[in-house]
Amino acid sequence: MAAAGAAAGTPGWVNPFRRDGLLARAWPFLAATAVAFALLPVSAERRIDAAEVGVAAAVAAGIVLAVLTVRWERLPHTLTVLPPLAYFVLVALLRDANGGGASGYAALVLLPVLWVALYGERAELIAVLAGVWSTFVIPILVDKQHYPETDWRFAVLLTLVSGFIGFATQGLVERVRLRAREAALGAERARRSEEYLRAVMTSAAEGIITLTPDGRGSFVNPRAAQMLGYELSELEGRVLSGLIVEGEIRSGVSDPVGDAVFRRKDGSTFPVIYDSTPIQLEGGGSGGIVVTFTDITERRQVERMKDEFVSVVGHELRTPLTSIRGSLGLMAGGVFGELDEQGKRMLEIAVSNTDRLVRLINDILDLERIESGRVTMQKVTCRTDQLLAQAVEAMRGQAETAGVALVTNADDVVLRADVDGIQQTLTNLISNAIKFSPRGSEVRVTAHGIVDAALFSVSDRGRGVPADKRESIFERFGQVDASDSREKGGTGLGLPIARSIVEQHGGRVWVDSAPGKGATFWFTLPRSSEAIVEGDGSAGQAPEGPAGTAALVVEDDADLARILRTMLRRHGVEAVITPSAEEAIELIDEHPPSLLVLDIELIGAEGSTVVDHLREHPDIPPIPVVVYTVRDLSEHDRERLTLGRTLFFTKGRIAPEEFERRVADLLQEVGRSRA
Amino acid sequence: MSKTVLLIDDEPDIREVAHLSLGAVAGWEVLTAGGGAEGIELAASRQPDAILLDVMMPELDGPATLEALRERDDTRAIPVLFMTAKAQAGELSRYASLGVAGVIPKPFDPMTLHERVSCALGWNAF
Repeated sequence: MAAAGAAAGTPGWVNPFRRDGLLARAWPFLAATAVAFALLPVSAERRIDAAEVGVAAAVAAGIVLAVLTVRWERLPHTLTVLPPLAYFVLVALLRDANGGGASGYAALVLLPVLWVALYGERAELIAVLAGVWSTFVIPILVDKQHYPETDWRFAVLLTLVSGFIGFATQGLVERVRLRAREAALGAERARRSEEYLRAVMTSAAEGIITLTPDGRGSFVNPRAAQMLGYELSELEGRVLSGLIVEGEIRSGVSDPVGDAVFRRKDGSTFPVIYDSTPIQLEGGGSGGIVVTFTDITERRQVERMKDEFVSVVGHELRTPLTSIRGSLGLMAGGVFGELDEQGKRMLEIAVSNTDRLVRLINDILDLERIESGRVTMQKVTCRTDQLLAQAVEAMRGQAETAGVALVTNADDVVLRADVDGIQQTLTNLISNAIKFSPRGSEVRVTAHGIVDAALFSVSDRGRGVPADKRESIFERFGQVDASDSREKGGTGLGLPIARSIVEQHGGRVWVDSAPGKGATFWFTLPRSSEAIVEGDGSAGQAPEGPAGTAALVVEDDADLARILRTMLRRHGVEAVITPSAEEAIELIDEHPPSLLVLDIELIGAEGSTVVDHLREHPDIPPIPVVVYTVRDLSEHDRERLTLGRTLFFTKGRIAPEEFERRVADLLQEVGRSRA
Repeated sequence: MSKTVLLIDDEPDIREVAHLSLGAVAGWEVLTAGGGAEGIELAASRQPDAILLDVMMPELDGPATLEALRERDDTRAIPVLFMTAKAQAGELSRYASLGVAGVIPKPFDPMTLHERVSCALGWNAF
């Protein structure tokens, strides 16, 4: 009944005379009619009015005929009360024909009440109750002799009882029907939602594969199968790890996003990016993982083309600028004779603007490449104080020209960072600070370790940054004053580049400023746990280059140190440079170098203390040492400085070529003994 | 100490500017070649103290020229510096790994070019 109700699409009630269930629903009605006639002989001693019985029979026949033939489903539902009402007429006639007894007929009127309660609406039930009332009241009014006044009470009582039974039944039926309807709707919703999910999975542009905890494909969408060149059925239930050429996707491995290379059925491969998420079942427990992936072959091609384009644009713009800058530079340098003041001034303008244009091109290309995320930061273990020292060294010329002193204060925090990138960040910030510093003031550059990061700062005593510009200065061309780029020669991209680099490291950059009193730019670089472990002094890898190939150059003359680094690099050896003996000892303790190049005359401490340290710590692996000095060493000095393989040179006494040749020989010797 | 350097670049204008820069400013003897093949021959016959080699050239480009120079006994020992207008950080370190003595980004300052070359080659040290 419930299902039929839902299918009929009518709220709360059903058409009792629907054709499909016609006989099923009409039978109580027909049976009641039959019972009504059957009651006749019960009071056989009374008179039976044959005419009334005849009319009743005609009414009964009409009811049955109407029930069976009228297309009720096309009529308003309200009309379905007509047969029960006609039935009351029938009951009243038969009762009258039977001598007016009430008891049996009273029971009979309950049938249509129940029937309407089951199939009809509230209003129809009320109509039927009115029918009950009328069935017993009208005879009293029409034939007072035959029907006693007491029948009034009977009519009231019967109507009340019928009403009670009718409404109770109707309430019950409604509740049952509602429940059934809800259940049906729920089932329908679930079915639709499942259908929808399946459609989503099937039509998704991404490949979707779910893996069971043992790595078998449990669901594979058609797109995934298509990308991999398989039929759906070939992948389901199969161990799928063989499809992955590079990268690792396993249940329980928490690498949610990554790049991988997948293998097709025909053996060819394609690059993908994927997302892998554990499937959490309700009530806990793992349902394996769901992997969605996209073929990024085309994206890679576009990226490569863009990279090439950027590279070519850079080249094509810089090539003519090289000629322009070169010609102007030669003229401004007086190679072709002196110009008058105005001519010189014009050439200076041309040179400085050419330089600015070159910086702008470099910065635009740098920013494009960094922000696209395609230039991955080459992170190596490095130390904040060295980063700072190098950046300050690079900016010393600009600072001197501007009459600004550079003051540094750095802790030696070990971290992993892209050295070139951080250099660029620091020099951009220091360069800005110098530009806005009044002559004779200081620019302070600091680096300190905080809990899980290194904190760098660059402060100046310039005009400061107004509060409303402290965000926008990190935007492209977001200088405080639009005229700054002209006056200060900046590109307007230095801070965006610095921010991009710092953010690529997972750090943050911001500015504090009191207008008129200067500005402090801060940035953080997270210390990775890896870096902290390495910094703890366990004999780890050399800070730069492959293991065991780094040399340590202890030299306080920056130019000479750079030359030595260049020379060593020519022989395939990266050099870590430190100006102080103290720091050299720390570095050796952290990462024993493959070669130590030592200047004896250092500011502050004798280079020989480094050798002393090595002698006192036999646990440090033997390191060949190149010692050079400006003075002639005595036999005693040489003995003190000799520890294993040692070369001695005196500055100015040896040709650079000869120096290089002998160091190269030493390196080869070291390489052989290591091999 | 006067040096002889060989400049290999396909751009005649840049050759001329660099020639003047190293010749007129530094007083070096400057040989020029417009391409890799010509440069290799010149390097072999004139044995310069150093070679300044443009990276992007038609036909034989910088790295290929470098490789050819390294294969010949009579040019192997001559230090090579790359000059490049493709001065992107990643590219610079890649060039450095090819075994050149240094990389000079273009544009360069003609008044200080010889100093950069000297510094990269260690000529003015000691």
